[in-house]
Amino acid sequence: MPTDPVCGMFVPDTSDLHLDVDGQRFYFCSKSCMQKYGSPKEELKILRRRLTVGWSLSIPVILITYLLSPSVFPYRDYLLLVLTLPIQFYSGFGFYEGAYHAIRSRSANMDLLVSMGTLTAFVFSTFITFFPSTIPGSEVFFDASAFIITLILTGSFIESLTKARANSAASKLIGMIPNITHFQSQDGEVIDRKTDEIRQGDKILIKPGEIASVDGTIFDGRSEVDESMLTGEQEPVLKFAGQEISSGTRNLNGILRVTVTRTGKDSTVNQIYELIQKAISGRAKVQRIADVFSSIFVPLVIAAALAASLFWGFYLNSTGYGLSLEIAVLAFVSVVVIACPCAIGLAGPITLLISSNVASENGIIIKNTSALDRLSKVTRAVFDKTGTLTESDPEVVEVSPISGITSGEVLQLAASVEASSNHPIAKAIVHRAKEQDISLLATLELAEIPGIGITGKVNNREIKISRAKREGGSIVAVTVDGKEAGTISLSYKIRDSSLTAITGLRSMGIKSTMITGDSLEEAKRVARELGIDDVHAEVLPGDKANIIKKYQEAGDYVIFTGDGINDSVALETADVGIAMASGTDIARDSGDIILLKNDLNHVVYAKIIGEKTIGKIKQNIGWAIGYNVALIPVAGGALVPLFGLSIYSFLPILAAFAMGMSSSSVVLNSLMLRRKIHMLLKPFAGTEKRSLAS
Amino acid sequence: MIRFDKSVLKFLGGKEGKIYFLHLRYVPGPCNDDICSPLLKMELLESADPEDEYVAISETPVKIMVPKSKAKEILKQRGDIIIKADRLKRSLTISGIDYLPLNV
Repeated sequence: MPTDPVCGMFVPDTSDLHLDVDGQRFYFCSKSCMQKYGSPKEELKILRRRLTVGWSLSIPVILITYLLSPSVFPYRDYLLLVLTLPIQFYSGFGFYEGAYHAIRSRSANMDLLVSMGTLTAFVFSTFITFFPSTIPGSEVFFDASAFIITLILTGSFIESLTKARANSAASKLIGMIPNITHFQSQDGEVIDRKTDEIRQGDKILIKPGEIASVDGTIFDGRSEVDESMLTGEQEPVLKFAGQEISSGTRNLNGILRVTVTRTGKDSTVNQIYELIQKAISGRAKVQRIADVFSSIFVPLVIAAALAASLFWGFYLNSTGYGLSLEIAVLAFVSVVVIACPCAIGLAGPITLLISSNVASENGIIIKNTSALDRLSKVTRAVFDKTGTLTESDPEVVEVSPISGITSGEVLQLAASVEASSNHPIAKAIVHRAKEQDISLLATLELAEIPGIGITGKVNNREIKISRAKREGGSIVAVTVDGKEAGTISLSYKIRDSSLTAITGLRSMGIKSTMITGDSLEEAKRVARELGIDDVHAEVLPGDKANIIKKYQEAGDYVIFTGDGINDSVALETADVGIAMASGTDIARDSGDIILLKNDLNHVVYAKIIGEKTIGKIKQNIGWAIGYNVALIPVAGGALVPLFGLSIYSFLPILAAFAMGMSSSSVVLNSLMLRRKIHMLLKPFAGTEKRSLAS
Repeated sequence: MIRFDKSVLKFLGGKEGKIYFLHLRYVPGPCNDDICSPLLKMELLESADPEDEYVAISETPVKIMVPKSKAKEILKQRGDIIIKADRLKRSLTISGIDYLPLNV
């Protein structure tokens, strides 16, 4: 059964109260929940109106209570009642609504506590107003009822403002997407259309300075693209025909014509936004303590409030104190109002939300927040070699002609034949030829023999390219009419970030391991250069997961970093699977964490983010539980022996103030995580070539 | 690792081989807030939820089946899962699974 995304109530999927957002249907228990979800700005407006009414009436209420004696103005209590009524039933409406939903779903929440506290104070005061002689000498405390509502609403208002900051990266990302896209019709005419009218397969134009509104493949044009909003990388990337461009990236200096591949909720920006939002519903192990506390909290508080109330009622009555009922009511109100389950409930989710936002700013997408817990326990980092520690495609390092032919000619002949192949070696040769502005020649009678090479006829000459693996990469022999014309050497370049990442992990006490299908010699070469502790070479793709399992059985907590699609089993087996993004479709990638930028230093960043996040959650939970454990006894009267019963004249208001601020303090404390992580990552930024350990 | 408390054998009364299914329920938390997440409740029942696909995480003395979508996460936690008998409720209880995210 679906749950209401606002209040968590179960709602039958036959309910008429639903909203479709980006192709996903959400069900709601009430119109107000639907409004809260559908138009948060409207919700904030309502909160502001309720707050304005609350403050503009609460101040006169407290002034009249303390400055105007009933002996001077006998109708004072009636005036207070009239002034409090709008606060009680307009400003406080949201609490009653929340309490009603909680009772309906047989649960208990913060709204129930606030409703019980304020209604008790209000009903008692109303009774005293109309029947003053029933409890002689008793005062009304409309001021308590009014201020409880106003102060708690103020706390909610501050909390909603700070929460908006918590989600700033995700909101900024989604807010950047232009509403208008330049659609190119079949006859080449460019028309401006609303972005949500653009469909897969459409042709669009992205002008210099504009942000891509959808994902696509460039079919014409060449330009530098700023991907910093997605990956955190400040250097622009050169993009040209055949390459993919993601929504949220900025075209800097050339016109790009693009075939749309993903729009709306499937686009990269929306996928990232969705994953960040999901962080809220994620869990860290430490939150279990908060969950246990939360599940018994409200009934426990009500029981404590009743116990305090009964104790003071009976005790004061037995001593002959005339206002025992009044103190009993005030003790009950103070306890239910000071208790704040929200601070406990928010401690984990708000920290996870901030942490996911900070991670996304650095090009790290946390798909499974529970992996953050395991990140803090990791003892071994296992890496796939090709495409992870090294670049995924080889590059030409040397062209060696043999005799009577130039290196340019060898490259031209090889590239002309290889142009039709999809083999990574072929792509590297063609790429090098294009880089050197070498024109490709027409090729006939092409034949590719898998694992061997490719042949073809260029200018009536028989060209044969034989591909062979060797240590450190591959070597290609080019023969013309049966005679060797030259060789082309290719190599898988080790990523600049590999060395710093492995050194950084070692400084954290984490051992490194490489798994590769390549030869032992090649594996050892890379391991030697990077200082990797253990090597597994000539491993079949399916065996990577078995090696990880063996490490786990030996007691290691393992991070595996690899390709998001080809290494999916290994990524799922590891305690934390980190995938290097395989393209623009993040949702398809396996793993707990996705790195949008091919920079292995981000594995170290992820570890730091994980550790700091868990630390902050623990701190928040400790603070929230500590707050309740310390202040509930105070509200129950623990300080009466020191300060006397007079503290109850202001305790309910102080309780409301403390309660209103406690959730905000959790949010503010969590926001400090952002600064802390930025501070810790700062020394690593732009120091890929420098050892992290130093 | 899954451990069965002594009370389980008493509860079964020699009738081993029973199958219990882990049911997950999310109940609203105490905070009426769009960030506050629902609380997870776990129950072992003799019937399966038709909406889930199950895999076994233990065979004897009781076969414990968990939703396939959550099994990997349960095992990754490496927690001590303890099955006990609750005589009052006349059912088995499960503890040691600390958290199961909604989005796994």
